Amino acid sequence: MNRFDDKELRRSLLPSVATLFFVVAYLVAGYMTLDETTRYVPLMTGAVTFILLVIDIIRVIVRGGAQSGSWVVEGGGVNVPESRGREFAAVLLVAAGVGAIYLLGFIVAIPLYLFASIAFLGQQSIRVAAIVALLTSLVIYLVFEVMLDYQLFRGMLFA
Amino acid sequence: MPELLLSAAQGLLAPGTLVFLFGGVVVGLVFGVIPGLGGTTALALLLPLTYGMEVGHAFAMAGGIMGAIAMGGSISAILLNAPGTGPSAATCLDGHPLAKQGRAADAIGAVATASPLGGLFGVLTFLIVLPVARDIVLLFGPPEFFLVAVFGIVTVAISASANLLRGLIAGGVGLMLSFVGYDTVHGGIRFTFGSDYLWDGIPLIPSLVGLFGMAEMIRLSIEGGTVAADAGAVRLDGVWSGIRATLKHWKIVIRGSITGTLIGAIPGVGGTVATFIAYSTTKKADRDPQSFGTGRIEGIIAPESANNAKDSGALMPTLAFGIPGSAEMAVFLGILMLHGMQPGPTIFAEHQQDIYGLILAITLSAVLASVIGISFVRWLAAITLVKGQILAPVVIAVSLVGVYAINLEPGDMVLASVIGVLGYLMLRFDYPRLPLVIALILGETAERGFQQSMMIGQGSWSIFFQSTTSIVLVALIVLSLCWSFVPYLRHRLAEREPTEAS
Repeated sequence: MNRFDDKELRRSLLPSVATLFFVVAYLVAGYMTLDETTRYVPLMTGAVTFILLVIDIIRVIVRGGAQSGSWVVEGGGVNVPESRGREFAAVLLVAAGVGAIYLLGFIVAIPLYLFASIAFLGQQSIRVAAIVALLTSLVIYLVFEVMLDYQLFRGMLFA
Repeated sequence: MPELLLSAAQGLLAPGTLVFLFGGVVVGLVFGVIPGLGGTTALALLLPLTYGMEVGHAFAMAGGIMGAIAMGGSISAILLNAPGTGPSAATCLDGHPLAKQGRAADAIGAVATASPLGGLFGVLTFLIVLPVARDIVLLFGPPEFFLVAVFGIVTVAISASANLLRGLIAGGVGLMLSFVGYDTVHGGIRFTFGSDYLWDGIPLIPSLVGLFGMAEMIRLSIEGGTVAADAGAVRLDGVWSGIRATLKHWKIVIRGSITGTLIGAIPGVGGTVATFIAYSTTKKADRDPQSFGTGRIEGIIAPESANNAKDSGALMPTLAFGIPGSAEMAVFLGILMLHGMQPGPTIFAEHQQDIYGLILAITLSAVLASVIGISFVRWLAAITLVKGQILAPVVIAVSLVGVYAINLEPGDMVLASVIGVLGYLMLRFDYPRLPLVIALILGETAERGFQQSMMIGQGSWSIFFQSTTSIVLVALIVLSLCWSFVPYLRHRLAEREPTEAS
């Protein structure tokens, strides 16, 4: 069997390869856009990181994915759900929440984000989601706008 | 000195001053608990308010904030894995796993004891070292700053993960990210791709909130359940066990306090580095370093001792030279100047009683914050029983508002969420997050130290071997790297022995 047919190996290689692409892009951008004095330290750091990544990739390939310790993580790791949909949904909801805050501001977007996250991703009752969303938004408003006198972001549409 | 100390204590314990101290403690706890805010923001908000106050009252309030911030920041670090302040991030490592095991009260008890003990140690050191503070600070020039930064990154990369290589890679990526923005030595703009927001580099607090708090909350919302994995196992009576554990590990308290005071005194390095180094050294010195990160009480005691001790350390260069040891101290410098006090060697002669008052305020506020923390531990620990599906979005929302409130900059919020997703992926794919954070913090210090050293040494690397301090630092870096191979070699030898025997 081809070594790269091993699903575990491919999964173990993925983060190192993705980081390697980032480092290469960083090195190219640094070399192309910066002058000699300002790029010296960043490129030196990038080059060292590149070498470490290549060693890591070789190590994973030689030892095989399962033995490389890729799924043993600090602080107990992530219990990866069987369906990846939940992972994508969680990340997408954060992105949508931040996007909504950017457009509509905290006061409008925070209750919407909380309601959507609790009711749909969290699968809690509509009543619980609505109560938590409204109460949290009220506390945020009272603490930040009223007590601390911060002007909360009103969003690009209302600013 | 004893008369002055006594007089300062009498001034601090006057009812009027105590009100300001208590007010500072409450503000410090609240700002510490909210991820993204912290001592710098609290002191910055206080700065204009102190204008009309007596110096003693202003110092009592500022001291109250400084002493209580550590406790507040560590509470959210333990319960939510969202460090309220940068230096509390190291407490997440073992504090949050303890909360997951239902032992949040033990962790808070340890914080409530280690934090004031560290503060007390720092104050005593401050009083002893004060006469020679100038000589110590002057031992550090550009080569030493560079080497301290490298030492910090290397020790954290080694101790943060069983996989040294991935620790170093994460450190490398953190350094690369730290070079984004304005080059303070040569004046160029790097890797901003036309974005004005990135001119000042990647801001630290949004990065910390994203990498630790948001990443953890994304994980919680995916996994479901509660912070404490077994809700039935949550102990709300563990405070005394945490206090006893701290007193039992008094050597760790002293080691953490020494680290905090020393690193805190080095301008520009800061409290976050101090707490991570305290954690790393304790982990390395332990017989079972691999168990750190799974909920070892020693992993809380070390950084917490350093967390409060660092304030006294940071006060030395701030008061003696007007060089702030941290961002918090830079704001405090503003309070000093607002009250007509010029930092420098003469400040100790001219305002000795006020300085002692401040020192006592920091110590007393740490004790007060601990008492308040312990009193509310039952309610605080109950947070770990809230359903993750509800808690995670609420914490993410509060974190986003807190992060925005630092500079009223929407970009900070976007950055925190992007780094939050990156943090989740690092968690998912076994890349330690700590070396990335520590490198992000120390990148600028390291580069500035390196470039200035090269200029002084006219391009020769021998500049890093010319002073005793730098030779000691080089030796420590080499020893740390060599020491990290010991467990690997032991493992290989143990593997070989049975083969040879057969």
